[in-house]
Amino acid sequence: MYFDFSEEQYLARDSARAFLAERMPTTRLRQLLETDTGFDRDVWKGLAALGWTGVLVPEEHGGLGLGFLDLALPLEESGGALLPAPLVETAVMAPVALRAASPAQQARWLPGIAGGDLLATVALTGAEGLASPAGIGVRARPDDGEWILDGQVLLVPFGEIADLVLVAARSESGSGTDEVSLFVVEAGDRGASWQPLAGLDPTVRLSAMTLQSLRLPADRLVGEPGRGGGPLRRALEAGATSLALQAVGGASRALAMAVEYAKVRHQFGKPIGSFQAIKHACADMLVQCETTRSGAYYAAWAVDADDADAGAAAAMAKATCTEMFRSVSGAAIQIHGGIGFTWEHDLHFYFKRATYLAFALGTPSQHREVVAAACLAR
Amino acid sequence: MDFTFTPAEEHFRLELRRWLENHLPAGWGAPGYQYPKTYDAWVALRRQWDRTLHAGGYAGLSWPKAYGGRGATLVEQVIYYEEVARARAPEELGRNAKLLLGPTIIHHGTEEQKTRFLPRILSGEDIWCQGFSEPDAGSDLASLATRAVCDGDDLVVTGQKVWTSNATVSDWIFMLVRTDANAPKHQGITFLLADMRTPGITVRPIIQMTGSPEFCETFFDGARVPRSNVIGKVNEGWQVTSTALSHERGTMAFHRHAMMRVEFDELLDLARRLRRGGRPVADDPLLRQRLAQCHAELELLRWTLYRNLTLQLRGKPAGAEGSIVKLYWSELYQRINDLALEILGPASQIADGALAEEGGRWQFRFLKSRGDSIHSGTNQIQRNIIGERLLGLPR
Repeated sequence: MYFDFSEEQYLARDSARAFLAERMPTTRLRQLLETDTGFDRDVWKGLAALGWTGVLVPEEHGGLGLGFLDLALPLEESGGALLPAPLVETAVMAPVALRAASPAQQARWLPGIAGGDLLATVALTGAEGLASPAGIGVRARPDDGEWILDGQVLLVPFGEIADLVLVAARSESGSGTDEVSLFVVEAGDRGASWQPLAGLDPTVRLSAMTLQSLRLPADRLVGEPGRGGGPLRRALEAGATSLALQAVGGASRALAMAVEYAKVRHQFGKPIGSFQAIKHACADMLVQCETTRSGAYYAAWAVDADDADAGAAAAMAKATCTEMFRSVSGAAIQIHGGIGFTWEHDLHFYFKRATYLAFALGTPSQHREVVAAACLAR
Repeated sequence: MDFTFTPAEEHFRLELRRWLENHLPAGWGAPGYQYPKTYDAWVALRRQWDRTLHAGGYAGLSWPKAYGGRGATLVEQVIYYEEVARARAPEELGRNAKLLLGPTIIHHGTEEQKTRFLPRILSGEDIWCQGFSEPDAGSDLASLATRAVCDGDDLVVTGQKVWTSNATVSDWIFMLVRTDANAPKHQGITFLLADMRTPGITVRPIIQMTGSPEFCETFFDGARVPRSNVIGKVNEGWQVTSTALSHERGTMAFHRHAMMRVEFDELLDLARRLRRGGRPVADDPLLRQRLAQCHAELELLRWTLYRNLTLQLRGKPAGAEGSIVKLYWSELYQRINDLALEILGPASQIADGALAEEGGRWQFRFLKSRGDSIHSGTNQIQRNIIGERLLGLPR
């Protein structure tokens, strides 16, 4: 029985924390708001040099060939720094989904991902969210050995700068998981158009992707046609767990800010943290943060081990950690009073990121329904 | 990370599981089992269970072998509490004495005290109640006012203790008394043991909101207690109490979790069985959401306990993290039982009798859970501890 990370994994966390503190302080985050892409390629190259983008890529494709647990703490740190980048999509979901790809496909994409040269994103969420394949808004049909894709996907993070987009599509007739196929759309493919969206979280650049008779050669299909459900599920489990870890990182930071402020802000001649109204709110934030953290770490283990419990564990972590982040960041704003409500203070970025993490890759209530189905079926 | 147990630990689990199957009354835990109906019958059953545990070598789990305990490792303690909860074994009548008093005597008692008291705690021959709280000393325990005045070889005790659970059936009380009214409030306190048959001690039962008479108040009117019954030194009782809290109190939370899991699985069954509007209650989308949330939070509790256990296994003393766990499970337990009433619907209002669902156990748990955020340090006190000790907020 040992439920903790290893020394090496903590070292990776420390280097991640130091790197992000230096290269992605919130002053930099604010500068990026004013840029076209909202993305810092130098920082990306730096984290690729630290190995993050290669952790889940096999060694024969230029990666480190490690497991999800080796990336869990850097992911948490990326959430703490509100890193504006398609990290979960590129470093986690793409390598996991591409396990189902052919050797030629892997050789085409994975080395670039590991090396920090290729950015990936995922286009999976239809208008209904992502509870089931029914929510997938893209249809694929075979045409003379090639594939033609039509449909729209909302909420594609950093889609316009991505070099490859993982797209889930249903066959014309299909509705169940068995009829899902996974495709890779590359930047420059004709038939894909992007519409930038004004995101509630301005640090995550979202776009809607519209596919109109997009023609893809056969070698863009990942795995067997209609058999993408398995790889999609694993990618989603790893992705949801990653978002949960980022939520834990973000909430830890918001809590630390609230506690620090409660120690230095004086009213009625005392630090406000000495008042139980504030002290107990902070205690509740810590309780929420630490209990959900346990769930995120357990889900990380389950994903890493490809345990039978991974689906339920990921759903629980996604729902509870992201709702915790929403609650903790909201409470942190309240504890700061007026200054917490300003644009000048950083807390609103945390509050907004919490909503993004909660609603990306399935809403909390969709994930809770997954949990309900699992526990009521026993 | 590694969630497996060693072969030796698995062996301990299987051996215990078999032992429980063989020693609990036949049919215990099965639906329809007729549990005792009265407090006195429950006490008799628990008294017998304490003896059975002792005979089986499971009393004093964390106590050193030198004092008659089992000397179980932390992981074995965890396994023990998970298994007894799984088997729904009755709570030991002597649990408080084994968890709190025994380790205190082992740590601070004289050889004579150890010889005299420890074996009878383990065997269940002596039943103990705890005399800490007073009408005016609850959360602010150190303001306790029950006086003990030295007179020759005796201490003469005058005052009142409250919430002395099971005092009516107890042989002894371990208590905190004020021996120096002029010292700062944490320094004039003494840890004292008193025979409940001592003249001047009277007990009055208090009926709890569940209807059970477990609670009591205990009055001391010039009761003479030998000085040899002081544990540690006179006026050092506060330190005696706070330094001797055993590890086992931390592992008790595993028992709590495991019991809550057993009960929650019963609640899932209930939701599948009951029907409303022609459909199982388990199909109601809102109730499904709440069930899923409770299920998830129970899992979070479990994994938090295992994270804390890992820290302890590496030698970190159990600290204020216990307050996080206490706060969390007690409020979760209330949420689960609130949900149980919602699932029962109108049937929630029938608490006993032939028409009561499942013998009224949900209503009993619902009421009992309100005590869990109060006993052993109210949740407000736990929040102070978390805020001050874990977050460093000013007092």
